[in-house]
Amino acid sequence: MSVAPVQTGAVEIDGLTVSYRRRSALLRVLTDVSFTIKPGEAYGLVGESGCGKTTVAMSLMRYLPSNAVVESGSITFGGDDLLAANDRTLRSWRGNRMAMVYQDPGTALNPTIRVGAQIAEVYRFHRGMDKREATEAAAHMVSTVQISDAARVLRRYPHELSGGQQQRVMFAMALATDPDLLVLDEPTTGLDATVEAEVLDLVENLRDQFNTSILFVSHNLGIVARMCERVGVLYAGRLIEQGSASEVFRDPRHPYTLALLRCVPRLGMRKDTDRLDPIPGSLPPLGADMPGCVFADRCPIARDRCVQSPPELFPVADGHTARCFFHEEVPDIPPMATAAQEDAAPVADEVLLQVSELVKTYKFSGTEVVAVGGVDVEIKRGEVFGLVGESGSGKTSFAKCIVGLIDVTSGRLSFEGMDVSKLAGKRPGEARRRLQMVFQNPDNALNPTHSVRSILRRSLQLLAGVHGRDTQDEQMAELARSVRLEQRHLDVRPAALSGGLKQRVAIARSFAGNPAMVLCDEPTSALDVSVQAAILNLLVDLQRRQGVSYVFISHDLAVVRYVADSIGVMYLGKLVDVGAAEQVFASPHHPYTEALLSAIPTFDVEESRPRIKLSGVLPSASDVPTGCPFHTRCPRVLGEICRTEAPPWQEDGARHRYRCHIPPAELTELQKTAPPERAEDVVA
Amino acid sequence: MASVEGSDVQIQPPAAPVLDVRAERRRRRRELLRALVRSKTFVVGAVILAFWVLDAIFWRAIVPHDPLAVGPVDTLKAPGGAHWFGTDNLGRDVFSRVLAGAATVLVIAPAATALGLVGGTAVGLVTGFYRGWVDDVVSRIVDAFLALPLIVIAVLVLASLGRDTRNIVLVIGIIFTPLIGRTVRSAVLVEREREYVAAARLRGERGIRIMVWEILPNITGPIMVEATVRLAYAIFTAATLSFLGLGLQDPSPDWGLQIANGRAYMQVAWWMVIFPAAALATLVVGVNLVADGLKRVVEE
Amino acid sequence: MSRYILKRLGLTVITLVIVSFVVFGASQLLPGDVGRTILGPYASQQQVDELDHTLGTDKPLPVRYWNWASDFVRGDWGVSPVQNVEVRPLVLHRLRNSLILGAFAMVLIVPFSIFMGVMAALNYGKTLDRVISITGLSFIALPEFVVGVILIVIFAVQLGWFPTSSQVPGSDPVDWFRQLLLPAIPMMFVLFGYIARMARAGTVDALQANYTRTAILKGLPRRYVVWRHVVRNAMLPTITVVSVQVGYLVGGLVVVETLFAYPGIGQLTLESANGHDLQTLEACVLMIAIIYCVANFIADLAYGILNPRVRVA
Repeated sequence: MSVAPVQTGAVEIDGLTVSYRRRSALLRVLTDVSFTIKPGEAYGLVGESGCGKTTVAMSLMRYLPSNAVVESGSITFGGDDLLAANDRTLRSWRGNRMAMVYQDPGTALNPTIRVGAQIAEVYRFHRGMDKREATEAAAHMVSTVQISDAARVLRRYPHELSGGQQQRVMFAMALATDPDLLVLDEPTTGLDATVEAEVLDLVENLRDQFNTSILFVSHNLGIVARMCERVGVLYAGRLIEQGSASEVFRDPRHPYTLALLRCVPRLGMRKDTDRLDPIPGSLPPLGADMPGCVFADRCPIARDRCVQSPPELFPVADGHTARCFFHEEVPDIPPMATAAQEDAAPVADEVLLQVSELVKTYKFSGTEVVAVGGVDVEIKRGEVFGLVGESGSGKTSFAKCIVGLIDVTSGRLSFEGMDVSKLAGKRPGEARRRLQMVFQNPDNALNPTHSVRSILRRSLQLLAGVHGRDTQDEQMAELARSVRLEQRHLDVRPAALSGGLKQRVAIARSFAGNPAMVLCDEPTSALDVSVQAAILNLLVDLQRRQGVSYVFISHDLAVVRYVADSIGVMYLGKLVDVGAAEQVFASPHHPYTEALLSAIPTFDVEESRPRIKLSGVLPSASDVPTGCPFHTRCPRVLGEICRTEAPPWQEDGARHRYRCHIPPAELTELQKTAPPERAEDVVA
Repeated sequence: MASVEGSDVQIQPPAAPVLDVRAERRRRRRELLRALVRSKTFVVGAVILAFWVLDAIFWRAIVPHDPLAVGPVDTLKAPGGAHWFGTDNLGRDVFSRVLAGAATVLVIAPAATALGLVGGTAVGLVTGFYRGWVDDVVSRIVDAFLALPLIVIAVLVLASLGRDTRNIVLVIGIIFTPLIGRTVRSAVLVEREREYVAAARLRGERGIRIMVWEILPNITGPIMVEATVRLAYAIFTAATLSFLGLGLQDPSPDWGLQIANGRAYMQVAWWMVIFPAAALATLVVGVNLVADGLKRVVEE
Repeated sequence: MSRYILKRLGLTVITLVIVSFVVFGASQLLPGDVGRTILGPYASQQQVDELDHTLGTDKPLPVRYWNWASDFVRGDWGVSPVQNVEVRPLVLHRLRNSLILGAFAMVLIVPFSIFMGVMAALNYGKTLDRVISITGLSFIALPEFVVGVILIVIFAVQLGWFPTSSQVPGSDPVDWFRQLLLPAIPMMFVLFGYIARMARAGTVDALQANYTRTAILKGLPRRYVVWRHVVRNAMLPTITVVSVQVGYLVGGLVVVETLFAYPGIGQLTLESANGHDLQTLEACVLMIAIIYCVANFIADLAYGILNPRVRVA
C-alpha cells in the first residue's frame, strides 16, 4: 500500500485559515495554523473551548460543517493534497488511510445496527471482503482492543455495552485498516476516571502495535502530556506555542500556556497553602478583529507593541516556538494571585449535618435501583466535605436527598438540630434558608427569562426575608459584591453573561440567606479551566469568610483535594472510604480509592505512577454485588470472603476509616506495590 | 472582607454587549420580527391571513350586493357582468357571499382555539409539573380522544346537543384542550428538569408560582406555534362541520355551507362550489404557512 | 419484548374502555326519551314506559352502561330502531367498504410520502426540499371536501372521466381506480402532508446524528450510508405518525363518503347521528376506535422490531 514508508503518515498543515459563514459575515476560527505530524508521532493539540481545536481535527478529515470556508492554507497527507481530493478519493481515504475517534461513543455508534456489522463494514468496503470474512476480521480486531468476549460483543447493540466498551469498539473500527493517521478528538471526555485511564492505556498499547500518526485533541493538559511527544497550544484560532510535550509543559514560553498550567489545581495543592491563579478576562469573541497579539488584553506582560502588531512564532529552543515578543520574560512572570492569606474559620467540633442510614431507591418498571444504599456521615460546621465517585455511584442522589429535591426512601437527616428528611417544600423555612445548593450547569440553573436582578431579588425575599425595594437593592449590591459581580451585570438576562459570570450569579443566589451549608454539585465541570480557578477561589473565600460548610461533589480528584477538609468516596451507593482529606489520599486506603487516584493523568511527565487496572465493568445499581460491592473489580480481592461477607469498617487512626476486609497494617504493606493484574474471571 | 476585594479577578466586559433587560427585550422582539420577515412562507401566509381578517371585519363596506338578497330572476347565472362569481340557486350573488363567508369561520375558529389554548395550557402545566396519577389519568383520556377522529366526536356531540355556533366552539375547544395540553406537557417535562426549577424549589417557591412564573415564560414559543397550528385545524374542522350540515344553517353565507348547498348544482353551476372552496383553501393554507414560519423561527 | 407487547396491549384496552365511556356518555346527552323517540309523539305515555322498560332505558346509568358494554363485547349489537335492521351486519359491511377505500388510499400514498420526505431531507434547503415541504404544508391544510368538490367539478362533471358518486368496486382493477381514486385523493393530500413532513424531519435528524458522521468518516459510499444508517433510524418517528394518521383517515372518511355517496362507515356514522339512530351510532364509533387502536398496536410492534432498544426492555 505504501510506496515510501518514511513519508506515509506525515501530515503537514500549512497556513490553514478557516472561517464560518454566519449570515453575510465571515467569522474567522483558525488563523494561519501550521504544524507537522511525523510518521508514528502523537501530536497533541490543547486549548480551551472555542479555541478552534475541533475545527483543526475536522479539517484533517475534510469534514467541516457546510458553512465553513477554508480561506487559505494547505493540508498535505502522505504526500497528497487533502484539500484538493475529490469525493471519491476522500471516500477511499476515510476509514482506510485516516480514521477518527471522538467524544461520546454512545451516540457515535448506530443504535439500530449490531456492533459487529458496524465494524465489518470497514472491511467490506475498504478490503473487499464478503460478509463472513469481514465478520471474522472484525472479531479479530475486537480482541485487539482488549475486549475479552469478542464473539458475544459483536452480536450486541451499542446500548448494551458500557461506555468504555463502546469506545473500544470505536477504536477497533478506526484501526481496522491500520490507518496512517488517527484523529482523536477528546476521546475520553465524558468517561469516568477509571474508564478514561483504561482507554488511554489502550491507546498506548495500540501505538506499539500500529505505527499510526496521531492527532490528539484535548482540553486536558495532563492527558496530552502523557500521550503525546509533541504538543501545540491553540488560543483564539492561533497556534501560540509548539514544542516537545515535556519542554512546553516544563518551560512554557507563552504567557497563555504558563497561565493555563498555573490555573489547574494539581494533586497535592491545598486551599490553605496555595491559591489558584485564574486567567483574567475572557476569550475574544469569534471573528474579533485584533491587530496585535490575541492574548494581549489578558496578558500580564503585554506592552504597546503587543497591541499594535501581531507576533510571529519565535524559536525558543530546538523545535520549541512561541508566539510572543517577550517569550524570554515568560519564565519570570510571578503568580498573579497572592497566596491565600485569609485566616480560615477553623472547623468547629459541632456536627452540622448528621446523615444516618440514608437510603434512596428508584423503581423503574418493576426493578428497584439502589442509588444510595445506606450512608452514614457527619459533617461539621465550617467543614468542606468532598464527595467523589464515578457516574452511577449515587453522589448526586445523595446531594439531592440532603437539600430535599428528591424524597428519602429511608434514613434520617438532621441539620442544625432540625429534621430535614423531607422534601424542600415541606421543610421549615429556616432549614431551606440555611441549606442551599449550587448546580453543575449555570446555563440551566438560571431562568433564562428573568433578569439577574429579579433572580437575586426573589432569593433575598424568600431566603433572607428582605422586603421593600430599597433594602433589597442594598442587600443585592452587597451580595453582588461578595461574588464580584458588577452592577451592570444585574440588569441583564443570564444569556448575556459568560459561563463564569453565570456561575457567580448562581453562587450569589445560594448565599442570599446566609446559609450554613451549601451543596456544590460539580460546580466547575461545565467551565473552562481558567474560569474554574476563579470560581474555586471564590468558593474558598466565601467559605472562609462565612464559615459555611460545603458538600463538594466532583469527579476531579485534584479539585476535591484542593478544596476539601475531609473526603468521602462512594461506590455503587455506598461510602467505602471516608476521612480527613490527606489520609484518604494516602495509603492505606480503600482499593477503589487507590484505583481512582492512579487513574489521574498528570502533566508532570517525569512522575509516573503505576496504573491500577480495574477488571470488568461497573455493575448495575439494580443488581449490586453481594458481600463487598467492589469485589467484582477489586485488584486486591482476597477470595471467597469478599464475595459473601459485607466488609467491616477498618479504623485507620481517629480520622480515617474504610470498608474492606484487609486491615490497615496489612493494606499499607500491600499498597507499597502495584497489585497484580487480575485475570478476567468475572462474567460481565 | 477587604483583603478579598479585588484580589484576583478582574471582570472584563463579556463578549456580548451588555444591555439592560428592557432594551434587550426590544432587541429580541426586533430580531424575531426580522427573522419572520425573512421567511417567505411566513410573509405569504401573513398577507393571505391579513386579507381575510380585514375582509371578515369590513365585508359590509365592500360587498357589491347583499349576500342574503335572493333574486328569483337571476338564479344560477354564470360568472360575469354584474355577478363576478355568478349567482346561486336562489339568485344570491356568490362573490358577495364569498366575501361575507369569512366572518363566521374567523369567529368560530379563533374562539375555539382560544378556549382550547387556555384549557390546554392549564392541563399541560399541571400534568407536566406534578406528574403522578393526575398525569396518568389525563394521558389515558388524551389517548382515548386520539382514538376518535375529531369529526366523529363532533358529530356525536353536536347530534346530541344541537347545532349552534356556541356548541361548535365548545366542542372544538374542549377537544383541543387535551391535544394542546399534551404539547404543553411535553414542553413542561423538559423545563421541569432544568436546574432553575430545582433552585426555585430550594428557595421554597410554591408549585403554582413555579409553573406560572418560572416555567410558563420559557415555553411560550411552543405554545404560540401550537396555537397557530390548531387555528388552522379549527378552521378546517368548523368548515367541515358546516359542510356536513352540523354547523350553521341557511341562509348564512358560511363557506362550508355554501359548498354543501352547491353540491346539488355541481353539474350546472360549478361556480357555486369552486369559489367558496378556493376561498377556504387560501385561508387554511395561509394560516398553515404562518404557523410553519413561526415554528421555524421559534425552533432556531 | 413480550413485556413491551403486554404493556402496549394493556394500554390499548384501557383506551378502549375510556372510549366506550365517552361514547355511552355522549349518547346519554341526547335530548328526549328513547321510547318517545321511537314511538313518536302520538303514543301514550304507558306505551312509552313499557318500551323503555323492555329496552332497559329506565334502569340506572351504571347498569345500562354495563348491559350495553357486555352486549357489545358478546356481539349483540341490537337492532337499529330507525332502519329496523340488525346493527352488526350493517356496521361490519359498511366498515369493510371503508377499509377498502382507506387501504386503497394508504397503499398509494404512504410509500410515496416516505420516499418524498427522505428525498426532501437529502436535498435539505434546496429547491426540491422547498417544493416538497411547501406542497405538503399546503396539502395538510386543505379540508377533504374542498379538494373533493374541486376534483368532482373538474374530473367528473367537466371531463367525465370518473363518476360523481362512487360505488364499492368489483374485482376489475380498472374499476378500483375508477371508483376509488377520486374519493381517495383528498385524504391522500392530507396524509402526504403529515407523513412526508415526519419522514423529512426524521431523516434530517438522523443525517445530523453522530453515528451518521461515523459512517461517513468510515468512508462508506453515500448511498449506503443513507439507506443503511440513516433511513432505518428515520423511520422510527415516522411509523408513529402513520399509525396516528389512521385515526385521521376515518375522520376524513366521514366527509369523503358523504361527498361521494360512498356506502362506508363514515357515511353511516353521519346518517345515524342525524337520524338519532343511537344503536348504530354507538357501534360505528366504537368500531372506529377499535380500528384505530389495532393500527396503533401494529405500529408499536413494528417500532419494537425496528428499534433494538425497545426489544430488550
